[in-house]
Amino acid sequence: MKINFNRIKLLIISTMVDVSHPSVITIFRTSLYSFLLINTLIMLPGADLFWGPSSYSYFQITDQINLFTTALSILARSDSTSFYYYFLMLQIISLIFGIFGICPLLCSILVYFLTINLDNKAWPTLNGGNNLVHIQLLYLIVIELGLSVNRQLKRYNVNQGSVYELFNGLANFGFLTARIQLVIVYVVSGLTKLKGALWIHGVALYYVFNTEAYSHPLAVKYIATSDFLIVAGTYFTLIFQLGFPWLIWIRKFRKVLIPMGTFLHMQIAFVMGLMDFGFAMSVMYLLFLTEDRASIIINYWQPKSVLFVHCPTIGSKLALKLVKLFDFSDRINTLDQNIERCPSACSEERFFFGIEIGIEITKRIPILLPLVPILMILKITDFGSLSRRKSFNLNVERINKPEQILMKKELRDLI
Amino acid sequence: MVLFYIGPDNPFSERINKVAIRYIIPLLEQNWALFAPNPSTSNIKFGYKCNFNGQGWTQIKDPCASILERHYSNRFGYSGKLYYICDSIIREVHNYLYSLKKEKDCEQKDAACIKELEETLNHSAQYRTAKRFVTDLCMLEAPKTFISLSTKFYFIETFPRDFSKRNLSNNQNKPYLIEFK
Repeated sequence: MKINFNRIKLLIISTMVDVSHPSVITIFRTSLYSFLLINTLIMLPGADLFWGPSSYSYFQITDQINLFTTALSILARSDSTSFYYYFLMLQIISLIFGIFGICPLLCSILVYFLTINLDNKAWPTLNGGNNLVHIQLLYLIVIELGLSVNRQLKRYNVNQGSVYELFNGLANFGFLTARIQLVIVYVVSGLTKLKGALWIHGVALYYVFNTEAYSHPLAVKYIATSDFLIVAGTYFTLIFQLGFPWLIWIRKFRKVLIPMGTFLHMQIAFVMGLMDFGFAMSVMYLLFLTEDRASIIINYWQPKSVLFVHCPTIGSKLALKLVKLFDFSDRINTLDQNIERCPSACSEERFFFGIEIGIEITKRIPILLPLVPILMILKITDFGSLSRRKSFNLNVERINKPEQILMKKELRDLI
Repeated sequence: MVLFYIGPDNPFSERINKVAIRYIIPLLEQNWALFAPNPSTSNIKFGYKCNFNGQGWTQIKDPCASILERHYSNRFGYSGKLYYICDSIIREVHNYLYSLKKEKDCEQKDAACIKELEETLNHSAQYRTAKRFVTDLCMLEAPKTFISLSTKFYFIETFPRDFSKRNLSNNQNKPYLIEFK
């Protein structure tokens, strides 16, 4: 067989022209850090029992002692009583900075180092989800290294030649490796399940639900007593794990596989009680978002357009002043009361009423982003309309990017 | 290489593993076969007893049971993590004892070997952690004044009915119990 080296060379060069999935990386990084932050905050009330002097976990001596294993088990080796507190606080700060994309490379290194140190101390609480998160955090450092160097090259207008391409390639390599890592999980898990008699005979779930630590009384009562659910659930898991590694690379199958996988892992989270494992695995699916879909999500959550808010009352003016304290990127402005229209520089304008104003304001301020889902629910349930005339009555938005019009089609039709 | 290292055994894995282990263990350690091939077919329970001033043993209690109940009622709290710590304390002692028995392979009448095994176990981090945990638990229910405290703890393994016998009412599997003093 003749190997065409020119084609291989071209293929490699094509992966270095640009970062292939920047929006997917942003979403993945934000979601993974958010997951870790929530996980740490949940454990925070019992911090002393997990990482502190009251902890009942002891240091596990490993055969492989080298620079990495030593650096990643500083906390586990330490007998100091309040040492963990600094690790915990630093991890939370790094995660928050990382979520908002501040110093992403430094944050990725800190998050990796601190998370593994904390986890190595509380090792009895770990499961496969934590293991996968650790590995993906390492790949994230590789990705961020590629992205950060290129960002600096662009910023200082350094000749963007082969160095630029090399770091593009590095970011793309890290991203592809992260995807392959998830596939490896399913390949190994699926293939080894084929060796187990309980999986082959379709009764594995019966034993899973009868293991108290990984079950729930309701699951024992309703699922473990149903032969159909036991057999269907066991084979569904087996078929899904065997099919995922191959089908996930075909885009049309992703639409089916990702919801199926999320359902499977939510079942593991809520029924089996492995909350962190279930959510960690679901976060991993974000790696398989398409770039187009990911950029639509980012633009939807982070509109680049400026919002002009009309504040006729003193209360609304005060509320807007308060909001403006957190508006670091200056995306919210007050509209001149006499004009009640978009300033002349507007290329296009769109109007928002009632709860929509709240949603648009929170979308533009990262610190208020967690409120968006709540406001969305208020909007869907029509509760939001009750506050319609309370504070704001007219708002105009200047649109900078034409594709953003597509996101609010219903509003465009309304206008 | 990662796939060969963590995948099912094959003719290449033994040779490749020697190289792979050098970088996989420190940075990319993983074992997805943990989820397979078969799920656990038993439940581990932790039992403990206290004796204050030599006045008799208290009733056997399971410290993990109430944590598990909390985990059942609220999946979003940290009780689940706490339960895994509680569960791991007794599980680790048992696993260590199992590995010691395998390593020393003492005969039943070999008192010296058994004594050595017990001493090794008593000095292990696993046993000392479990003993500290049980002592802390006993201190919570201790009378205001006491001179001496003795503790015992148990590894209890219960087995659910086999799938094929799930509908039979009188076919409960016998639990397996080990006492640690």
